[in-house]
Parts: sequence; structure tokens; C-alpha cells
Amino acid sequence: MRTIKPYIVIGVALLLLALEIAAVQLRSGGVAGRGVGSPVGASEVSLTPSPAPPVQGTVSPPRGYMPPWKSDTDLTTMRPTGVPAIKPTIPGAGPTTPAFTVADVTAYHTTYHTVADISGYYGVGDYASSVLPRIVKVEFLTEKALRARIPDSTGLPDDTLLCYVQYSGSFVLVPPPGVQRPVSIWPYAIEVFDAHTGNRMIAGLAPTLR
Amino acid sequence: VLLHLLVMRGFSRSVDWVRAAIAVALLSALIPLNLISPLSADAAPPLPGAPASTYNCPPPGPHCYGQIAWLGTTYGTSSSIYIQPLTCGNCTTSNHYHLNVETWLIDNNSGGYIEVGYGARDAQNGAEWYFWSNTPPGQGQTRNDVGPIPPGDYFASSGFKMTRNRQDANHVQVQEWSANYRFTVVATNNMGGGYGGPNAYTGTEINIGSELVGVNNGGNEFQSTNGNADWTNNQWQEHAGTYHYQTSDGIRRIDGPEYQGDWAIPPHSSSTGGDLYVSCGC
Repeated sequence: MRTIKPYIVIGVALLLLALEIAAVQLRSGGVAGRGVGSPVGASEVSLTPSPAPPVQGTVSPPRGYMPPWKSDTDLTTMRPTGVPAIKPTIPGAGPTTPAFTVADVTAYHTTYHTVADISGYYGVGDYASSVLPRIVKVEFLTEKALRARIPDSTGLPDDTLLCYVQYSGSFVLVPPPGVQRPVSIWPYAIEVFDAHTGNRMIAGLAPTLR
Repeated sequence: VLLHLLVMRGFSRSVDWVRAAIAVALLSALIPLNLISPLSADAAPPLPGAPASTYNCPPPGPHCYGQIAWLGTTYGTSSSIYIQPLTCGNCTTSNHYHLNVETWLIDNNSGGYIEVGYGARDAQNGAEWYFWSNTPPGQGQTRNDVGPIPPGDYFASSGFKMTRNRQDANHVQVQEWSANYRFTVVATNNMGGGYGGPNAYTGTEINIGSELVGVNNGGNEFQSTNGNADWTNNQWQEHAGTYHYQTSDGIRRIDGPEYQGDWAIPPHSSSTGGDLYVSCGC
């Protein structure tokens, strides 16, 4: 049998190692330059980023895109979408009929609002409650009708069909530091959903049944 | 060493091919075991002074904050905030935990305040989105979940502004704008106008920073996956349409173990309102 030259074997081994290293780098998300705040392309980022280990630092990240100054009179706005909450169950619902039912609202409530955390608190829409929240009102109404009920709007057109839900409980409002306002307890929490997407548009606290 | 022995002894027999293959396989196996590292230069430890990886900010409160505050009457505020990925690993609605990166416009005469920023909180299972929140004097609160942050907005800055409405002191105009998203809303809030008439200012205090509610159970309830939140172009509004960059370093409220932060560039030595970073050890 013919003898194989040692340098050929070494070359092949090194080539295989280089390929392995490249594969490891690809699996780990890249090479140096993706440290704290390094800008990446838009196509490389998802809405649900993978839980990479936190990198704590004492430096400010690179700026990346800086938005140009926007005048107070520039009222450009895009349609708000809210965040996913209730899953629609009625396909093909028209503009004046909801894509989910009161039973779907109740199921959402049971799943997300009736389990206490390790501190013993329940929660609706980010507001902790020391007692079990209960649904006291579910109403499908338009954006225009909603504005007559609460101070702010969803930002959607007047004829948009929404779902207004009010909960009883003992909800806590904690003001940020510096605000001359004590921690307060509220008897009601509200959530407003887009009646077609099921997305939550508003969460809040209320003093009375509305 | 294996390669050396094999190579020095020559490859005159077929069994040596097998030995060579075993040697290469052994070396390759060391890489995923981290016994050798192709990226050893990137394996730097966290910088000294980084906050602990656990946190304890249980509901209902007090919440944990890493903030800078400026006191003084103002018509409004504007800042650019760097958008970071936040995750909410074990978060559910019932846990009502949240991590926000934002600005606050506060009126301490009336107790009203308005917030705008981005965050991760209940129900979205790790997604994060833009929000604004309105707390009128003596009333409850409404928070608008505007929408998920577009992928192109990450690792870049978005503008956030709150200003007294030009026509009506009882309303505050809230704006967000970035490369891929922008919204403008008018919030009904009597701060300013409720006690001083149409010429009254809107706020008495501006805060920029991060807010955390949650308890680390050993899971990944929240992570700021890239470390620092960052505020630049920090401005206050003197009159309608007239903005000034902050020149004071403000009041530091970064005192809990959950947060670390400081001015990377303090406003007093900056022509653009300084550069604040805040790091959440969560």
C-alpha cells in the first residue's frame, strides 16, 4: 500500500477543524462584534428574541438609528394594534359583529386572572389584586361609545367594534418615585379588546362600575 | 498529541486511516464541550459592579426603579431611547410582572402623571411593545398597549415626547416615532390646567429610567438581554414648541440592588442632554 504523506493528513484534519469551528460560530449566533448593543440588521431580530444570557456593562450602547426631530405639530400616527389576548373563535365576523363570544372572554379571564402569584396576588392587565378578580361586565361597543365611558381612547376609528370588560377586585396603583400621591386601592379594573383581533388595547383602573 | 503520534509513525497501513479519523473526531468533540474554544476572546466575564442576577420587587409594591429625575416646571419632555430586547420567560397575566423602559411627565401639584415607553409585561409571553399610560389627578389609570415593537426598531433609538397640548392645557400630546413606527395621541389629563388656568405649565418633574415589578424564582421571569437601556437627546420644554436640552445631571434614583446606571455622558458636559444608561440585573 502506498504511504500517505503526513502533511496531507494534517491539512485535512485542520480543514475539518476549521469547518467545525465555523459551524459552532453559526450555531452560537455569530462572532465578535455582537456584544453590548452592537447594531444588527433588522432581518436578524425577531419579536420574541431568544433569552441570551444578560451582558451587564457600564458603557452606553452604540446609537444605531437616531430618529430625526419630530415637531409637535407633526401628528402622523399609525393604527394601534394592541397585544394578543383573546383568541377569536368566530371566523368571518363582519365589521359590526365580534369575532369572539362572552364565553371566550370568560375563558380568557379564568386562564389568566384567577391564579395567584407567589406573593398571593392576582392580577388583571398588570394591576395586582389582593382578592380574586371577578368579571362584572362584558359589553361590545364602538370606539365612540367607549370614549364616553373612559378618559382615553384606543386610537382606533369611531366605528371600530370593541369589547369592554370590567372586573371587581382590590387593585393596587403604585405611583412612581417623586409623585406626591399615595399608593391607592381601586375596586375595579378594566380591559378593552379589539372585538375582531381579540388584542388588548387598554388596561386600567376605575373607581366605579361604568 | 494523537495526531503527532500518528503522523510521525506514517500512514502505511489502512488501520492508520482509522486512527486519523478517531483523532480528528476527538478534537472536534472538544469544541462543544468547551475544553477548547474557537471564540475564547469573547468569553469575557461581566464587568465589575454589575447588579445581581436575582431580583426581588414583588407586587403590589414598592416597585423597583432606576431613574434620573429633573425638577422644575415644564410644558413637556422629549428623549430618544435605545430599544433593547426584553424577555419575560415565565411571565403570565396572573403574575402581573412587568419591566418598562420609559419617560415620565409628572405634576406634583395635582398628583397626575403620564408615561410613554416600551416594555414587557403580562400575557405576551416574551414579546414587548410600545405603550403609554395616563394617570389623571385623583383618578385611576389607563394604559394603552399600542402595539408590538417592529423588528427593525431593535438596536436603534426611538423618540418619545410628551407635551402640553397647544390648544388645551387639560390635554397632553403623547408621541412616539422611530424608523418603523409612529403614533400620536392626545391624553385627557388635568395636570397643570387644573389649578393654574390655560397658561399653567403641565409638569413639575421629568423622570427617565426603568421600572421593574417581579420576583426571580430562579427562572427567567425577565431579562434585559443586552444589558443597558439608554437615553439621549434629553430635553425639556419651556413654551409651546420651544425645547431645551437638559444641562443639569438631575437627581439620581438608582439605588436598589436590581438596578445599576449612571451618566455615560453627563448633561452638564453635553450639548445634547447627556447619555444615561441603566442596567437591570434581572
